[in-house]
Amino acid sequence: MIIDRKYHLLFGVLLVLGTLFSNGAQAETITLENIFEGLSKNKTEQRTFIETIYDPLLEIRSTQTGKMIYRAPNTLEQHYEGLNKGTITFTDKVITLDFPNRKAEITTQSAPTLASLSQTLLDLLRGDIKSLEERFSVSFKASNNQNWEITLTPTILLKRHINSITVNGSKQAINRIIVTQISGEWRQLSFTDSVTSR
Amino acid sequence: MNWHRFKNYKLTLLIFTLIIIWAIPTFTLIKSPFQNDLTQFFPDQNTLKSHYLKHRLSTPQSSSWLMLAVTSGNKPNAQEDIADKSTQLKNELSNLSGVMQVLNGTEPFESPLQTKQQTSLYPYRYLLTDFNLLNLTDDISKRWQEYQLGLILDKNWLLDDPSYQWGSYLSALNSEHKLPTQQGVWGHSTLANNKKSSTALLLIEIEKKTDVLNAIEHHLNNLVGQDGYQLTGAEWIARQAEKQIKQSVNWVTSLAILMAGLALFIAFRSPKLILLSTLPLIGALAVGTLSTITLFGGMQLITLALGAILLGVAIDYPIHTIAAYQARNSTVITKIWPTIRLGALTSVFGFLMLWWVNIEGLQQIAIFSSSGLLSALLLTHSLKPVLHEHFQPTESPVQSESKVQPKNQKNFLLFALLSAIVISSSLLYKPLQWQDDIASLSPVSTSLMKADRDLRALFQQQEVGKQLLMPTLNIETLLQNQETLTPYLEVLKKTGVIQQFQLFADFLPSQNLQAQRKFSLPSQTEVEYALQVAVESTQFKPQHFSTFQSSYHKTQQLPLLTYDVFIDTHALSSQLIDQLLVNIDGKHAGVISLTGVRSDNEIEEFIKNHPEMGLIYFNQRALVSDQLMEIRGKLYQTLLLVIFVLALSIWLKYRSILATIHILTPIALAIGFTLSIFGLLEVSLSIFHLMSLMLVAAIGLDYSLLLYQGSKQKDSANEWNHSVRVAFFTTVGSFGILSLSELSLLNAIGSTVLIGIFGVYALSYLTTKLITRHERNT
Repeated sequence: MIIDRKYHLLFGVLLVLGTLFSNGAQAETITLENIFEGLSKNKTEQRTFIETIYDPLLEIRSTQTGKMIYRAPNTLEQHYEGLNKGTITFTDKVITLDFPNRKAEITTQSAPTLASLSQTLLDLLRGDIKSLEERFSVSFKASNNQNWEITLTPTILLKRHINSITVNGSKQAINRIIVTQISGEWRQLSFTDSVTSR
Repeated sequence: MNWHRFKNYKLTLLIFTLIIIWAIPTFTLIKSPFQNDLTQFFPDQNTLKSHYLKHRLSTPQSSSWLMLAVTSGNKPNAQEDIADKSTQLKNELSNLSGVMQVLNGTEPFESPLQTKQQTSLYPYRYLLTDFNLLNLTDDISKRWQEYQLGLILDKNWLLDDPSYQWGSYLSALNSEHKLPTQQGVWGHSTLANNKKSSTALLLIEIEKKTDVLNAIEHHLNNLVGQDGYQLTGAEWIARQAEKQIKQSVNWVTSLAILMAGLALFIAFRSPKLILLSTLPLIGALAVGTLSTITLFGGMQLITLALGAILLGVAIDYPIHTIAAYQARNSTVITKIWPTIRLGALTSVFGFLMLWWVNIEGLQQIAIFSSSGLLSALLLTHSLKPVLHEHFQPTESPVQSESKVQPKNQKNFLLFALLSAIVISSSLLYKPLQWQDDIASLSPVSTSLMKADRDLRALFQQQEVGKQLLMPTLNIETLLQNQETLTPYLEVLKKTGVIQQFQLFADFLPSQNLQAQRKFSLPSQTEVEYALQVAVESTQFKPQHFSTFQSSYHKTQQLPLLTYDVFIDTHALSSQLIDQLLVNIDGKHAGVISLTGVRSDNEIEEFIKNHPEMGLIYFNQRALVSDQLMEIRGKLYQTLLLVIFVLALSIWLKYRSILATIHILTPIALAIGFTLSIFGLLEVSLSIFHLMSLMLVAAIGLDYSLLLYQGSKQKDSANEWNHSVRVAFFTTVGSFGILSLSELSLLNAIGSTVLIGIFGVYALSYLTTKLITRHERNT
């Protein structure tokens, strides 16, 4: 019984604390604007990523890892590790490939799908909501525990290839990006570490 | 105007009415009376090279390419700026009506499975390119990397063509447009004064319409500003030249006409007389044009330009006649007219000699100028009743003429000999320089030419006219020969003798090579095995490539790709086929275009080392230079013939060798004097200078005849000299202005005539003075 009471007491304390935190969270309700405002303050950011692709037609699931470095306002480097070691650098205009067997500069015009994706990533990282809204319809969902989800549905060019891009995050950090293609394939980029930013 | 006055104009009006009656059916029946075909001025040589040159210059193209360079200036982020500008320009210009395509190096390959274009050749990819099963593992691992990184354009294409046969064929198709890139777009950077500036390069294909060029210029001015870009290309150059010519011609000719008008006004002091003096020239231009079009079915614009120079003499006939009427002495009028007529008829026969050059362009000039001059003479004659009524000359007793004694010739001959020695020495000291470039026939300014040269260098298109011609019996032999030659051309490329080459066999392999490729295609089982091995290092499975296996199998069943089938696929534009394959007089010839040729001698040596190929080096610049040299040689011969005709006509009139020498020497010396001045000033001479010299000869003949004849008059010599003086000042006024023009064509005409006329006038005057002084002395 004593144990029962202690449990009741502990439950009661937790309930009160929970209510307090909940109120605190409500006081700082996360919005699309403050997520993007926070993102726009990032100057440099380095994250470890796991990239997973799934192709239901070919039944292929493949995973690659590496480091992603963002340099404000318009450079994003994806350093792949393992067998496919090399770097892809995205800027607004050009995608640069630097792999032992392949070195190339591709303009965003000549690879529109890839370019649109890189542009979307850059827009997210620099918190440029206006640019995103020009190409996507943006929907936003936030939960009480500061987690949020942004769904981008392409309205123009990407519509032919991309179904949607879902971005999950917590507070002002992006945790996961999932790109779902019209053909059913999807590509997921998960960040496993916390933000190292300057 | 009463009937009496009208009667005076009867003949003039009749001539102009006849001209109008002639013009109506001519311009109604002939749809394009004016043409612009330079080849009509090339001698008829029976070599493949000269036929090919004519073919190149006269084959009309439906579209044309422009080269555009956009400079960033010295901004810190110049490179990105240039990529932005290039993309923006590509998008904006592509939307203009009349623009067929804009290339800036960002053009993606399109999946053959998603586009309609070029897909009919796609099944032949294993016959069009080499397929090596040993490379399949490498190829599939590359495809896997692309797949993982999300770089693939079309997954179905990847699975259908894992060895990327189609991609390598497309690379060959687009090899003509390989330029260095910056930030993914064609461009280059330059470092000057520690400041980096970047230039983006774009190629624009346009339909042949002038309003496209206007729209492009308007857009470029708005987007990058007037100083931010450079544009070149045949159409653009033609338009700019036209603009410059219009601008220059407008003010220069207006001023020249004003000067001539002023000289005439000072001399005649009557607007009516000035107006009358222009009628023979107007009639001459009209009749010259109509007779050329009627006889040849059309007229070259260059004929009009060159012929109009020769017709310049036509203005002198009414001037001499009016000046004679100003004396109000019927004897002067009666005597002067046969001299004018002699001068005119001699010039007509002289210019007619051009007919025997046997070059159609020059034959057109012969007809244009001689018929024009004849009508100018007739019109001048028709004005005589009007002039008679205006001046109402009085009758006076017929004056006797003095005779030049043979002993008076000593000083004159000494003077002529000394002048000839001076001219010859000057020409030996500084020989004449000839401009044997095709540019010498073009009215394009040197600044525009330089801009074109600079821009072509950026696009690695410095020598557009260097090719190897490969005459052949049939297409199959041509393709086989080109395939044999390719490795040797690759060696030339590696050793830097050439930068790039392009031949028809790059696009269509010979039946022989296709058969070899087909024969050596691995069996289905070998492919299956190789595929199993190749996918091991990836997550691909052999069954993913089922379409590859079936399309590979289909290729094995395909008939070989023939030339006719290839042409039907429209994989290559007809313009490119015309550039790589020509049919001249029923004979095929392959054209191997060369860019960045280091030295012509090395190419000649290469041809010598491969005699079995029957290669001919086509060097447009050298060939045109040869052709122009030949035209020049023929013109020299004609000039000699003209002088002979002049001498004969004068001898027939005076029946005196001495008189003939008196009259012709100032003309010959003036021509020599003009040439030696050009030699001393190191002016490169063109065909326009030669034509202008013919005009000097024609005008000079009139001056010399009139001054000579005048010198023989005892009382009215002054009236004769007056008529020459008026004509001289009119010519100096008009051609002097032309010589100030920046336009090389107008400058050439103006300066030649100005120097020549000064020479001929001074020398004729001096000659007559020498003779008359001697007469007084004796």
